[in-house]
Amino acid sequence: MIRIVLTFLAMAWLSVMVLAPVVIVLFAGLSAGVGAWWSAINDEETRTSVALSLKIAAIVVPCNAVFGIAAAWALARFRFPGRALLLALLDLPLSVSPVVSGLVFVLLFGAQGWFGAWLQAHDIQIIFAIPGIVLATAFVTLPMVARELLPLLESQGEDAELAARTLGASGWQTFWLVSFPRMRGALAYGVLLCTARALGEFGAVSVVSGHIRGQTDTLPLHVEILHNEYHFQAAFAAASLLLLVGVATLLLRRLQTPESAH
Amino acid sequence: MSIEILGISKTFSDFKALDDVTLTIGDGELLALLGPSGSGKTTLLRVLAGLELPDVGSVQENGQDLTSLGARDRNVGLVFQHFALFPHLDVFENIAFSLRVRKRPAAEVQARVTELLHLVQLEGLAHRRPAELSGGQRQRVALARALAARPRVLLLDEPFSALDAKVRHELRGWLRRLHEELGTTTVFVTHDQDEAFELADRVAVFHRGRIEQIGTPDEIYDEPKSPFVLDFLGHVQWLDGLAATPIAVRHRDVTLHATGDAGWAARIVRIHRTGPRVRVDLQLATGQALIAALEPPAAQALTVGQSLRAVAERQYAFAG
Repeated sequence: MIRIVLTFLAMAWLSVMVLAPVVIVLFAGLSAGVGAWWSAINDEETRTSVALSLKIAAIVVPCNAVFGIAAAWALARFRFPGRALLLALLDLPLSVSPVVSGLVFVLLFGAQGWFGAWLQAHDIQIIFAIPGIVLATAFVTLPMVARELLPLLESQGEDAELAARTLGASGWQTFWLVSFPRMRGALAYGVLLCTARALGEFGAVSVVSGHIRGQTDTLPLHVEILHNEYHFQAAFAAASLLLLVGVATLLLRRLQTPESAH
Repeated sequence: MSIEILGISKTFSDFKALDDVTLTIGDGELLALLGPSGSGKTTLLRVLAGLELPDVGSVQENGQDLTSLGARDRNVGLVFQHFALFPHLDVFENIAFSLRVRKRPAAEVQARVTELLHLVQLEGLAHRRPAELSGGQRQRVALARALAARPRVLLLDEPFSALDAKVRHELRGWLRRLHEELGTTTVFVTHDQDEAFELADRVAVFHRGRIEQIGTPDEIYDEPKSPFVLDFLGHVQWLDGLAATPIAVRHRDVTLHATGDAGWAARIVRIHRTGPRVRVDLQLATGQALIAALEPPAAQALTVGQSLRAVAERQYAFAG
């Protein structure tokens, strides 16, 4: 009895909270037919915003992947002063509101910010420009790769790497022949999550972007603009792209689960 | 090619893992480092492997100082307690690893790995992954992998502790034969005295970061130098109040006699079979408990409650 009630409650809640919005977004996006959906996506400004979002992700994800490997490695393998602090800092981007993250960069690099005068003097634009969006996105997605790798590295232990060293492998050989192949699955998932979040980040990017059409509008920001201007069908069509990214992430995760199991 | 360990000490925060350890490992010797956990034996193995730098002291080979040589350049073969095979590589590539990182020609790698697969009797399993092997097979892959680059010394950390009893016994005999065949200087760490005694030419007994005693299995068994060594070898009973200092009697050194006046008056409390011997729990007339481990024929006529004489054929006492 309890089982039925709990299952029903869980399913009902998921349906209302998760399934319904997904269906509604798709339905609203396609409400005027596939042709209208496509022309909304193929719209010049939408295309530019998609391109910008992809560009941002292409810069941010590799950086955070390299940082994530380094941070997870250091945290899992070494005990050093400041380790607890690094662990806490790693979680900060996930626990702090994205708006605050965006504001931090405005405070640092905005016209009235700490480095504002210097940046203006050297004609460098960070806030309301692509560098600002990259920074904000990088900040928000910073922990995603490291957080996937850390538990894996901790559970694997370091014996295999020590074995590689006693067998004559250099540090570089140990990493490429032993460590990297063993973390590939978790790394791929971390990169997927990081990419999905980088493409979808709204709050922090909204603060630093300045919403300059065709220049600093990422896909999520563009969805909001379309919505605010009462282009509901176009807004939902663009939103369905972000939805696809999310669904694709989950599907890819499913595909690579068997390999990452060991 | 003897290896000398000279005055090595190693402290982890406030724990003294090794305390002025000096030891010479003879060429081709099979040496056991025996002791309870935390006694320093594994730390010494890691110092030998170059994975741990000693605070004081040095490791030398024929007068050449190896102490500052890292694990990578030391060319020792280390077998880990849980094997530490590379799960993403098959048996062949696991064994080939040390040759691959040395960029040996493919033909040489093929020949050497084939030779080792034969040596560890795993010819048919070259393309299995470690996850598809039994514990004993994994252990043999780890051994072959460690031997591939012809190490100057083979180090084994509790090599059999992760295996079940039957496989453990088979592998012990096999390792002994392998050692006789190859003659590689070998050091292995164990907390199991039977394992150390069965396999090793010499045994070093560790206690609190020091070598309590070192010698052949016979020397250590017959002439334990300290109460710790005697205790650690087990099957021993301490008796207080019979002499000026406590005396120790091994279970197997006790004989029972229905008549005569040698030894101590005793009464049988319990008789039970333990493996090949019969264990007889006794209580002496003076109150102490004593255990006799008898051959089954010698125990046949005994009954619980019987009074007789217990004689210690050999007893140990340590001054101070």
